[in-house]
Amino acid sequence: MELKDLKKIHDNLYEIPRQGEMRVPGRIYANAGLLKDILSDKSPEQVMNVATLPGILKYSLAMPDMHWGYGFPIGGVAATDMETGVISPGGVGYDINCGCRLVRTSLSYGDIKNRIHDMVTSLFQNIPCGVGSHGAIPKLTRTEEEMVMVHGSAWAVKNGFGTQDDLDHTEESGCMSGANPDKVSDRARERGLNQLGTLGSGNHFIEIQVVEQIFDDTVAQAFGLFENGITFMIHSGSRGFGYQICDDYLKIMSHTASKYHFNLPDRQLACAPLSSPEGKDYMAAMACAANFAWANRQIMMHLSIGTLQKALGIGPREIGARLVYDVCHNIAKFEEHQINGGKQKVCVHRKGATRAFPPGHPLVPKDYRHVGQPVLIPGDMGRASYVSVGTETAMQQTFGSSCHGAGRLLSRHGAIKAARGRAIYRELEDQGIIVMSRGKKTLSEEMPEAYKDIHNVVQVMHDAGIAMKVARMRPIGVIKG
Amino acid sequence: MEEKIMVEGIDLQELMVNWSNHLLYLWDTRHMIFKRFHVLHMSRTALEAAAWGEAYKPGSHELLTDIKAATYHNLLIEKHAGVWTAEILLDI
Repeated sequence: MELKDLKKIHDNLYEIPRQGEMRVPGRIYANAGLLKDILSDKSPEQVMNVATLPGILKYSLAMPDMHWGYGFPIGGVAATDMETGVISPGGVGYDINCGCRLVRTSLSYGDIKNRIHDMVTSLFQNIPCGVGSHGAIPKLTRTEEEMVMVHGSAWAVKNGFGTQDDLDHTEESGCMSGANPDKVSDRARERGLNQLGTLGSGNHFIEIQVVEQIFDDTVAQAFGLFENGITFMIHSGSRGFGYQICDDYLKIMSHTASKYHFNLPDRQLACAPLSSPEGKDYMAAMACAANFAWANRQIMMHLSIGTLQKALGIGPREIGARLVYDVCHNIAKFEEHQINGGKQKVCVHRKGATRAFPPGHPLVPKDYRHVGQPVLIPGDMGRASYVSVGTETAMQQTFGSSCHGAGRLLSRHGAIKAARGRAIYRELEDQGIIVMSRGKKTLSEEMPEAYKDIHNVVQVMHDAGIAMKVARMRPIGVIKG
Repeated sequence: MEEKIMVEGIDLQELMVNWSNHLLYLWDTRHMIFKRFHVLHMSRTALEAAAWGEAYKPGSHELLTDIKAATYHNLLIEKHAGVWTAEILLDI
């Protein structure tokens, strides 16, 4: 696709006019600089493919961190009609409820600046990460695993990993309703048994950060963030449990496509009507994976807080750790949105996109309701991460969604090539960032240049009025798989 | 260690994806790594093979990255001059 194929709506929004089998137009949030990279891959074509899904409403949307995905573009958002629309596992992704959580502490940079190495080493030793990682908590029994599927984070809290306050600051309170373990295959269950409380590999991480700049004092204060304050962020998902559920239902739905007379441009877009048995079964299984992922991040957060306390020789009062928020960025959810002037329940697919609800919305935690929902946007391990806040504009334009990260610029192979002959960990250490990783090539694949400029991505959302900047955090310590 | 693997699929594409994902499942649940395969029977919808490998040993095997799944994205299966070639993209 070329720039001439797009219609410019404003400096941060471009439209792909409806054509061919598209049922709605496509809309890409990006500025001219980001658009150049976006047009260099096939993700705009994927926006067009998503626009062909039965029952899609208003627009097939893409956020500024968009890049080439499987079926859906990563950074894609699509809402479908509850009666005529479909649910697509590809619109959620393999890593169901991959997401991000941010923990604030009462510590300032000055308190820990000479202890960063100890903190990172302790996290690296205590939080299982890397390929095939397991063993943070004893292997679950089958009954326990079912409880995790149904109760999510609440199971973790009940078993001593956290507090009620953590649940209050988690999207959906860390438990998606409608989860039914009967809809989860034995294979998925088997894969999940010893993976709870593990980080995984690839782009998953735990990062210690320092708040570098506050953009909105009132909102930052509500979120417990202050300049020079220490935070940490966890990025992980539902591990093999979720991957297997996605694969299982892609298969089921590709078999039933002809039954529903779907002629889809890409097999990864396999889908089923929301009202069909296959659609309902997927939603019930997906909710199990979403809950697994929330419990996973909850456990890792609790273990991380204990680990950092021990590393620093301080107690809970001194560390002052509190969950700011936990967002999922690979999910499909039933939500109410404005469609043709009226409120309507729809199914919002967010594939690499973060919910961004405005002030006053009933699903925003009570203590944040006057300012809006925190939007957590992790960047690469060399530059920065952001906290933004949801807006009414997001509700009107993007089904209450924003970007979810920086977005990849180089393929993993391309990154390894670019990193050849360089010591990435040393380069980062020179910038004051201590990084530890299990995989030899992880650091090359995940090096800062492999990602788009997070500042630019977040600025597009800010300038478009979708998610307003609250705080920027600089990484100082990272563990990766 | 020898493992008998049987997979089915509605067509060659699905067969290829199911085969790859079955190997991932064996890795994830039993930490088994294979390096030699022998196809015993194959049709366009079913595959039976013997696979030889061993359980993961941290000192002798180097693990690079987790593979989430084998995908249908740009999946290519071709036969040229009697030789099959497949290209499959893995989500990592």
